[in-house]
Amino acid sequence: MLWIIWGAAGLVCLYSIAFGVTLWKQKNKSGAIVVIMLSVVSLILPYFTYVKNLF
Amino acid sequence: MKQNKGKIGIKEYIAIIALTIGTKLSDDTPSIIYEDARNAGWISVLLIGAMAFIPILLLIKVFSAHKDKNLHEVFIYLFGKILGNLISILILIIGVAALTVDSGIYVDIIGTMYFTTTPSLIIYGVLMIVCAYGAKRGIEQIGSVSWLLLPYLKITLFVALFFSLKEGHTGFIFPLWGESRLEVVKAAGKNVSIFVDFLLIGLIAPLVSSFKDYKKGTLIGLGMVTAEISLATAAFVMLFDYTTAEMLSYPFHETIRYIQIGFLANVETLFFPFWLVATFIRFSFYLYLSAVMLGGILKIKEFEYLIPLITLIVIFLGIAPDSPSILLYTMRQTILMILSPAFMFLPPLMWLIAKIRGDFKNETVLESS
Repeated sequence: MLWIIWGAAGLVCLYSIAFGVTLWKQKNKSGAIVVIMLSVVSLILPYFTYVKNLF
Repeated sequence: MKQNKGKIGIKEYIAIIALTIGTKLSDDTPSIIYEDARNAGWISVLLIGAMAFIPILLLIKVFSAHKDKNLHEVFIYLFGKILGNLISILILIIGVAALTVDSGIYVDIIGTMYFTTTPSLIIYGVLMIVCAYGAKRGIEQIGSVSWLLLPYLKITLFVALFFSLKEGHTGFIFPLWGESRLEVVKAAGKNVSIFVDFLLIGLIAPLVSSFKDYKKGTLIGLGMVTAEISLATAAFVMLFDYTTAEMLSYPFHETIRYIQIGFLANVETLFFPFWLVATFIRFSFYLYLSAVMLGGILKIKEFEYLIPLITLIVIFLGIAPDSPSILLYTMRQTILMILSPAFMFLPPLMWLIAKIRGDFKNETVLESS
């Protein structure tokens, strides 16, 4: 179960980081930084809100 | 997947309003209203509708001078780049918080009432994946699906309400003003933000086929959802009496489990799929609005690519509470209380600034020329 959660979160995170990189290439630097930051947050977030509650 | 950037007509617009705001009668909104208004909750809802009419009317007036702008662009135009963006960011944060709490409540409803053995994360995941897909298809498709399903959803709702009124006791709604008139007005003032969605719907204002349709659709939608929620709050009180109704977290779902249609028992299986479809449309629309707002703030034209990211954040935030029935109820009450003054204050302020800037004068000149 945990692997599926991490896998899904990781995929969406990668997708969003790739979108952030595209934004960077389009010279939208502020947008790219926020999107990449949110992507990293989405990867860390489950540890504090879900995984921690399991143990 | 190609995003459909088309416009929606008045039918689709009204259907979206009816499904996104009207669905509130099936969550814990009636319980929140009963807390102060007791058995006069239905009057309180009518008062909420009347109170919300003023800011909504002023908002429409502001949009009449900025027909090609959405809510974020109007903020930037009226408040300037820094303050406008700040207001948009605040609205986005509160909007995502409300989306998280609301979706958490719906997952709690599904988990506690229907799929009792399924883990919340699975329910949350499936619900939000479907909604994210819907949101990514764009506003035109959300509108089409809403209009297509509106008759079925409303017919089933009114069948449920008809049978609850039939099985209920008219005497339970008396005394008409509940504990006191002051309490009814207090409940209305505290919870006027159940219609705050009308402010957020301003994000799709330029996507409605014409301004006339936007104006007409918003006012018809307001009347429709006010009457619908008011009727539902009266029906729940008539069926359970207010002492029981205010203790129920989700009165609508208790109602459809309680009523019997002729020889048919367990009729909740008939109503549940329709309610679930309305839920999908509701959260698809909210995800879409959040993406539009975030895209506007970050100047991202292809904002639909933000939807998976927003969905993931909403899922992992919404899954956090250990006892969602209690915690999410309290959080929703707090959000409603914070948003109520903001909803009453922001549109009049926008109208005042537009008036001072002479935007309406320009509009008259344009119309006459």
